[in-house]
Amino acid sequence: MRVAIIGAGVIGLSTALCIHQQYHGLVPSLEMEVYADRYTPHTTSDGAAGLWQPYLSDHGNLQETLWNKETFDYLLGHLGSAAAKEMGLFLISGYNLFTQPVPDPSWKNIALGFRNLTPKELELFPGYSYGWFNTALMLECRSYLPWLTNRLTQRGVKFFHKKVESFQEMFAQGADVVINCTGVRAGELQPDPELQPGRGQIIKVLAPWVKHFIITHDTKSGIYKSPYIIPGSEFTVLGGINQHGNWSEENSAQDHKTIWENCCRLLPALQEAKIVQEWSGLRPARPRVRLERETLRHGHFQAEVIHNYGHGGFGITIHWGCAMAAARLFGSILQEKKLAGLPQPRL
Amino acid sequence: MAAPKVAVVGAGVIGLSTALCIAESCPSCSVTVLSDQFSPKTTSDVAAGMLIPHTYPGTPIHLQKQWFKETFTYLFAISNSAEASEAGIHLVSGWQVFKNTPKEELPFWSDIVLGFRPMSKAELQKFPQHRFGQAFTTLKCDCLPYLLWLEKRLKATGVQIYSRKVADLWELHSEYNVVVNCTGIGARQLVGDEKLFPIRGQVLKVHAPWVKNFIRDGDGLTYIYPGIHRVTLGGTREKGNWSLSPNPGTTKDIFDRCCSLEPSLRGAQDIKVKVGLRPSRQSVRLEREVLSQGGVKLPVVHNYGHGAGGFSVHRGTAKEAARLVRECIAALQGPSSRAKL
Repeated sequence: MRVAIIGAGVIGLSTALCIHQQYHGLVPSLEMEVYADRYTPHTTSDGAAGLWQPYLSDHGNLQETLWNKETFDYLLGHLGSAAAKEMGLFLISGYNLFTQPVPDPSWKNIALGFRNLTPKELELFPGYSYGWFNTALMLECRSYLPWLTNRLTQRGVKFFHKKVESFQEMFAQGADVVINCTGVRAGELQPDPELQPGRGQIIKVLAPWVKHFIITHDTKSGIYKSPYIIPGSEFTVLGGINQHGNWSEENSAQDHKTIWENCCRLLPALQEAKIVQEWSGLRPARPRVRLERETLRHGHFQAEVIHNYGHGGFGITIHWGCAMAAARLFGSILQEKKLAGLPQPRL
Repeated sequence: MAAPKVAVVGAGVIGLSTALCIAESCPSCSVTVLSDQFSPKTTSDVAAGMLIPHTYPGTPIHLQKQWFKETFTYLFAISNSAEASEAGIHLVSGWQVFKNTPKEELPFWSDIVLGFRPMSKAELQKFPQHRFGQAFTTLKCDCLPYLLWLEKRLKATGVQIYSRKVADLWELHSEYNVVVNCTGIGARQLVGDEKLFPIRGQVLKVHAPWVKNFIRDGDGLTYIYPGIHRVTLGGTREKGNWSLSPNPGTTKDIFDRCCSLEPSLRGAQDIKVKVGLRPSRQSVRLEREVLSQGGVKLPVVHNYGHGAGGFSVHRGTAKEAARLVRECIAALQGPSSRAKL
């Protein structure tokens, strides 16, 4: 059984690991290969600050809320392990700020210690009259992706630096199942008008005195269009840009100004922070995550694709729940191959 | 008296903050700081600088609460300003956990820190050996930048700072009108206060920048306090131990205790060991005294004995000490006193 994963961001690598962990013992010769034209530190995941936090509203996508919870619980379970530091995983507390009262989010009981802000705390944030405090997790991809890569390499998974032009290309090479984790550029393999870039830009600074994340919200303009400050293990990420439909990966001076001024207004001491890096990336935005099987027929080929893309600005937040769901889809493919009695000499 | 001359002896957090309060509240005063130790060699430099008060058995609670509130309010304003990083003041959230439920559920300072509440069951799962906990947000005062920031402000108001070992407060009587004694543990020898005793604390200062929350065991012995560049791991409370030498066995013990609270600390790098002697006393000595020899008087204001709670109450006690200094000056200027200048 040959499995090809396309994409080596957080989604591709975690899906690969999840499937390998669950099935390599059950499938006599599970050969897994990862194909990507970008590897860490050049993936979209690498630019993300790494904060586990779903969007404010799940828009009725209860399944996504469940995947977020599965991811949080999975990561929480790894916190006390020796691997946590290598994974780039740690606890962090912080603030979500609003200009008016809002309903509690779907994830209030998933995160730890969720509560409303007290009047005294709100004094810290002039202009904001309502907010939340909670403890969540950080998962820094510049550590997590190499960790995933190491786990996969140890398991004999092979990596190829290659831009895949079509699913057929993979099947022609002998792949039985293709896992499509191509993020924002999934449309190049199969048109998907629902998938659009949500362009983000961030400034990385040295501000080690900042110990909390601060995420402001402007419910009129939408998610991540309002300033946010997220402290990592080495750098603090300043952001607040989300431009739907903008494919540019170039840093914009105007966006830099917006981020810098807004974040310094939020935390005046940031004016003393040294700027270390600027980065732009494209969130793979979609009304809902595409996580489903598709059977492709090409000539006399019948091959299976599992799509796992479109995680917007919550890829890290939801990744493990999606990886497990993809693994279940993979399991159902295995079941069908057995039941259908198709010539599968290796099973 | 044209320009009363005030000497503040001691340049730890108490000495420098007291000098600043005097300079701020008595613009006509000429203030000088004298000390044989400066940052980074003061007792304050060993402390983590967390605003979590120590309870003094001999000081009325309402007074301790007032001192803490004044200090918290003062530092809160700085943490919210552009000077926060220069002054080394930052907010930090975390947990105080107890193996056994404490007698008093609400400490006197619970309404001064931010967001104080009991920990949820889910939060307590991270601490399997502990049955009860409190979550809150407080301030941390990183000593080195804070003392430097205080020094900068002192110099801006014209306060002079000199390195000088004062062997006897009386030696200052000819140069100064009022002396303020902020000598911490040094007061034991300087003024012979036998009620003052050291409580030795050994700590580790480590590089573990992924630790963003504080964790403190309610017994006060084990704590993890993330600072700007380093995390302070503690500690010990050894009453009557005057040794300033690090104890390697203690180092391992502190590290193990902290790792059991926060396993990721096993990956901490560049471990530095420090020792400080908490200047402990039943109550903070914050009062006036008049020294006299051969008809000559020297008013003294004592402000020492803050033990484990120096940072938590420093501004409150500094303001009170400054008030006592003004009283001394008023008494000197009164009709019945002899002006020395």
